[in-house]
Amino acid sequence: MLKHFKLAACVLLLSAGFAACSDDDEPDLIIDPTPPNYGPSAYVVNQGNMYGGVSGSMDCIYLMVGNTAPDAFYAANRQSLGDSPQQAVRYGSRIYVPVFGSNLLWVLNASSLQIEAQLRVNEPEAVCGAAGYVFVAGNDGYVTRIDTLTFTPSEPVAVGPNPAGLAASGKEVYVSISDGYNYANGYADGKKVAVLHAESLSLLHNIEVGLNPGALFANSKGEVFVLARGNYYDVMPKVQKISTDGTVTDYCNGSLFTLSDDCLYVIDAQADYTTNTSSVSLCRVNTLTDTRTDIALAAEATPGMPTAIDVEPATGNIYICSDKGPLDYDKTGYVYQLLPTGELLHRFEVGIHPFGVVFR
Amino acid sequence: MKHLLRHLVCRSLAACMSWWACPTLAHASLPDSLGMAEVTVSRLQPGMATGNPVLRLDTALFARRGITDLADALHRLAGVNLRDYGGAGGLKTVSVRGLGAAHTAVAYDGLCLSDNRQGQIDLQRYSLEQLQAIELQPLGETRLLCPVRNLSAAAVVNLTGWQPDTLRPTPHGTASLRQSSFGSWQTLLSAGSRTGRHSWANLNASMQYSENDYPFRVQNGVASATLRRTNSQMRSSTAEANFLRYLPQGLWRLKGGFWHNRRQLPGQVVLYVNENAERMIETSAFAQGHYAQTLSRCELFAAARYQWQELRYRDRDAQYPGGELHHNYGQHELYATGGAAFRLWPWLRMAAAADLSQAWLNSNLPTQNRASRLGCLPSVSAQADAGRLRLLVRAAAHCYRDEARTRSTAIAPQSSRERSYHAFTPSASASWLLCRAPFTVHLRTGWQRSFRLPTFSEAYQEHLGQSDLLPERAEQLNAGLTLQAQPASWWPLLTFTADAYAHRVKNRIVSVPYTLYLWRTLNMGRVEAHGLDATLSSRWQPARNWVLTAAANYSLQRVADRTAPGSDTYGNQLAYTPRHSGAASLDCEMPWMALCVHMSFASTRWSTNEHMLTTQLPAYAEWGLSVRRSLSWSSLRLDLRADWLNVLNRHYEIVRRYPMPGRAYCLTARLHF
Repeated sequence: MLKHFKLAACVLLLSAGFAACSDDDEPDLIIDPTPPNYGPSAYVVNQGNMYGGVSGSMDCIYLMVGNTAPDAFYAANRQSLGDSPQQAVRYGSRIYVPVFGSNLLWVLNASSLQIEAQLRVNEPEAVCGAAGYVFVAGNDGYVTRIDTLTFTPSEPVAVGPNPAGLAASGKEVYVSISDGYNYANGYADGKKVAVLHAESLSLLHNIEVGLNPGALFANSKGEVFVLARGNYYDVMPKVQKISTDGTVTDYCNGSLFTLSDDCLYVIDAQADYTTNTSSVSLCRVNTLTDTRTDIALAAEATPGMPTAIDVEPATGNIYICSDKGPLDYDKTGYVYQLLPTGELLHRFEVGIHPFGVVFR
Repeated sequence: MKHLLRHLVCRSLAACMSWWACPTLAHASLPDSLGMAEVTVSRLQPGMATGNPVLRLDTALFARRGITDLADALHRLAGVNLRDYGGAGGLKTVSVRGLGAAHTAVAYDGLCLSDNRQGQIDLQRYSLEQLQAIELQPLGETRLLCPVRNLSAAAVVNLTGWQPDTLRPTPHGTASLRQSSFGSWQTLLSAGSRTGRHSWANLNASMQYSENDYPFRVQNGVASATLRRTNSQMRSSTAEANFLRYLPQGLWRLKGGFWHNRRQLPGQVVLYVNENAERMIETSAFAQGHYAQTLSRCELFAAARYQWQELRYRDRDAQYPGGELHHNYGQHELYATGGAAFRLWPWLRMAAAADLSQAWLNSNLPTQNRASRLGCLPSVSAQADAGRLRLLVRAAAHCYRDEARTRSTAIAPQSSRERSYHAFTPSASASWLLCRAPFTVHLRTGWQRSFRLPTFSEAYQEHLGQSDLLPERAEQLNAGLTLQAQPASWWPLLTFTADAYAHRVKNRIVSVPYTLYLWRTLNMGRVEAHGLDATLSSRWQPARNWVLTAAANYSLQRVADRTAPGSDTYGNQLAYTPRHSGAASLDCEMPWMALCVHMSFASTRWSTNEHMLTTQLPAYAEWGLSVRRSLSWSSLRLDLRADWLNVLNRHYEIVRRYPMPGRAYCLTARLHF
């Protein structure tokens, strides 16, 4: 009896051990590398979750049919996008993706998403294209200019601590300086926008703006709009306008924005972490006429916790990236596709922490 | 034979000495009584007759199970979920039954260690060479009379340090040298002597150096590569002094120690980058003393501890102001405890104990950079022994008062904030002797409420803490059975334990990132768990000088998120909690050498509560081999041991992006003189 018991126990334990074995060191993503022909599409950059060891990805969303192809970057290149990618831009026929954690900038073919170049850049945070160059702002305080024909980087230029946004207007490149890691000293050096000459890459001057500036956009008049993000506590975020003569005025309240066809699209989101919900409002401001139009969002069109907003140039449709709620940073998110009037067309389920849409 | 019996008795009693707070046992361990012992029945293994589960490994079992370090030892205890960041210098914290590391108290020689800043104890600082035993109590303390702090935690890991070896000639010592893969060296020197008729003293010191540059595999499709861990060098040194004196029906003991660790932090694996510049220097020192006495029907104990810790963290990166990030923390704690137990009737004992503690934290952070916590914890307990039934009930109150202050700086004026916490933690356990022959079988059950306070970081650290957090509360229920037998003369030991449990945690304290450098800490979440822990061990003596020992443990854990019904993660297994885990070993002691084969395994886990392919950590099983031999010349004994670890060279991670070492060796020589 005891012999049998002993034998059974040993066999049970060994079998449990073997059952726990796996020959796969890491689960392999099974992705069809051939994109289906579903009409117009866009790419969503998902930041992933570095704390949970999940790298970033780029999903393809099919705008007409509401379908999604997960991690199109991996499907096209059989390798990962990297850790903590930031908002990508399309410039010419290429898409440029700064990947903060992995210290690189991907240059991708906009139609196939295949890698054209992999450039080593220190902690890239933001990117913009102008005058045949792509400018990359690194969180280490430098801006690098990259020739889009040869992919040759320039010598990095010091602009200030923790640049967070880039925009080009005419022959000037505007860089927001956040000094974000110096929050302990009240973002002491982070209340300015540095202005560079696009050709010589020399620092022309600095413009004083609000606390902790982030994203920047320029309209056709040469006015630049900057998001002053505040201190996430008692200084609320707002959008400011830098006029062509360099004067800075408060423009509107908001925590995320983008610019398309001289119109600002501004989201004001307030998170309630105790209920895992947020209050979200959306408006459009014509920067040429300074007229504001509130865009009403129905319940099903209201994102849980917006992380980025983009507008499709061809249709004017609005795309809002969102987590499911303020506490759901480590879960898959959504992209809301809205008509210019705010009606919901589609809601795409995408990867973890979507952080921007770039159009194909 | 007489010598062997005497040796066994002394070993058993020495083990009991670690239960210093129980003066009856301390009295029994007086060296004068050693010669009188004539034990003819097999002693019950620790934890077999208690209402709460107790799992214990001592130095003999470390060798018989092929255990190489403390992390390995904890893997062999059912219910333990070790969070291991890999390598010799990697952070190692222990969570029991899925409750989280902050719910697990770690006691060293009976007194709980504390880290009020982080709330979890890094076990990599304790070397197995300096420990006599490791004991896990998944449902809290089993002793009637103990420090109250040990009662507030859901689970307790007891580390037993130096114990006097009364059989060795005096003075005596041990010198050991260990060399292992990836440039690791460890030395230990220990010297002890009898300083009086009833007193012993010991000094020991150890040093460890490790390059820790083990290879690992980055899985990244066509860009997959085999790299080596960089920036992971570690140097640590430890020194400890002990003094023990037996009194008539009592003892007192003094202990002091120092630990210094200077290490580079390799950080998590980042795709396309294999560089890191983080450094950390940790220093700590402690002094503790305790006293236990039996007076007729009364037992007394008192103990005190002072602990100082300093941590200096530095990261070089151009993104930080000045190109470097410095975080400096200093902690002090004064802790005192005392209590008494009375035998009211032969079958009933009552006990009362109280703790008083004061902890301070200083940091170089700009706000709330000084925090203090004053604690007062009284408890009452009662234990009834009614024939086959043993019942233990107790209640403890926990009163804490926090004060967080900001030194006046350029951006933050001087300010102060106060906060109080109160909790009441009752518990009850029972053990019933079902039968004595042919097997000794006990049934047991237990119930406990416990809690944990927000740590100083969770409550006060700038851009992380939230000062209005509530304590996290846990409630546990356990039922199980134990079996011990001596089936035959050639089969002297068979033990089996099985415990089923259920628990729930409310007001979980969770930190959520808001931006890359800004976090919020919240009370959110509810967890419900149920599971099964089972252990089996057996020893056979098929021939003279041949001993076969087999041991196995298995844990089934279903730890589910019950925060928000309807959410994606509701009902999912919590992150980093395997549903199935366990370990097994088979040891064969032969006249000329001993050979041990061992393995541990864990089933699939996830790195977040959302279960996706990208968050999945595959199951693993790690196998190891160990060979050892002892050589004696006169009064010298040389223990030689060789270990071959992760024999199948399995690349796996316990924490995602923190790879564990692959195949490795470890050679140990220990000279006893």
